[in-house]
Amino acid sequence: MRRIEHISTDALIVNRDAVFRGQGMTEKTRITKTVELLFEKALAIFRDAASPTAVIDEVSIEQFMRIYRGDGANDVPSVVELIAPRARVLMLFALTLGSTITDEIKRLFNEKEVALGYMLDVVASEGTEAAAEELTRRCLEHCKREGKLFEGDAVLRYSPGYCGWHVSGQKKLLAALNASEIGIAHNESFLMNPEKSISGVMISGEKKIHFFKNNFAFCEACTHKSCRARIQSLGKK
Amino acid sequence: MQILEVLKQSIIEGNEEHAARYAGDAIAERIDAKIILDDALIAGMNVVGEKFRTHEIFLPDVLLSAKAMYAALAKVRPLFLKEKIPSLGKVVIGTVQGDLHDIGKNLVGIMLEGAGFEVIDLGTDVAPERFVDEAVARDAEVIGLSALLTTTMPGMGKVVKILKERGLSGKIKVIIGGAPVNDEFCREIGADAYCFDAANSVATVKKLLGQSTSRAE
Repeated sequence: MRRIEHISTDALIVNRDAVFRGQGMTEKTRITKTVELLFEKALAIFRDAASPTAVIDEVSIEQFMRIYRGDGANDVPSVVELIAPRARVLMLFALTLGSTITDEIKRLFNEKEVALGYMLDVVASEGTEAAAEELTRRCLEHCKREGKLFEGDAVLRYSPGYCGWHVSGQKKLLAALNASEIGIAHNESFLMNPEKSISGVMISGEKKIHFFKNNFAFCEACTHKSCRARIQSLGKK
Repeated sequence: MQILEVLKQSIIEGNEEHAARYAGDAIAERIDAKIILDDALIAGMNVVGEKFRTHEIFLPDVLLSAKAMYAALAKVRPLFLKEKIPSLGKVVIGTVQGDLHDIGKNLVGIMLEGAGFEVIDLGTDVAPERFVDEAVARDAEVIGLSALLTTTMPGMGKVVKILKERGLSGKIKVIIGGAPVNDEFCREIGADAYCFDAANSVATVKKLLGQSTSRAE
């Protein structure tokens, strides 16, 4: 059933290490006090200016595949088309931090507050991930309560633009969710507005359905390779 | 000239307050604006750029230095017009049509400004024709194109094509950057250079313009 979820930024743990990694730093890098303060300031702005809101909707595999196929631009075969049919629950989602935080980042850059502006941009990106994680956790709990998922089941998110799902898939996905109700739109390049938004499908089921080898044709051009860490986070099959 | 050294150091350390104060002191000592610019501000940012390239410092440090440089520049800039100081060159930058990502493009702008270039930032979602029109109108030597989406990167090829159609290829150079582009794509569309990241933008532009890269690298 379609519903709208509001997530408090107080409940989100923004991954500090990921924020610094996003700026080229490693675990061995000595973070100066000034940079640490910059991070704290950006985090405070994030907590104040971001208002994570999501829309989710459970769909059948038939409904999902119609949305997933989009305008026929996906890679074949792709990760999602192999995993989705084996899922117990397919939940479409779109989540945004809202436009206030994007406006704040732009304002900081315009006013030459570039260090804080960039730090806030990275914090907001990590904050979007954290909000999506919280949404995933809620989804998992909800499905368990309804008896659709069981102990040991796992949820992973898959998004247009990754793993063979063409970014143009955004069009049908956002339309199916009526994401405009929470202020998400896309332009002709399928870029979401507000920028700090994320969309896709949460695929729930046995852990083992999420395990795949990254030897698809599109894996070669992928610069993220984040699928490995995501699969690893599930533990053993 | 000790004041120039402390000014340079305040830029390197990213100390905005000191940078503004020492720039004012340098002006009060009647040091030429060109000397303040070259020997303190650009020299400081060059050290920062070099440390960034060699991973001694990271983006937040570079941006704090850029902020300090802007503070100093605000003091010195009024003298530029008076003393008619030319920039190293003019670079039009922007994110291509359909794309709203601007962080990478902004970083490139900051690095180029810090190195002494005049940067004309057209913002995001810029039509191909506008890049060329603005470059011609502003007498720019370089157009810098940014894209973060595979769906928008073809816009870069359109800019190169328009330049060719107007007989401007070679006269106005094109550099491209952004997550989905690479050297191969650069060659494919006929752009002049691919810039892997903001840290390399200054050296890339200088090389394209046949300028010495030793100061900026």
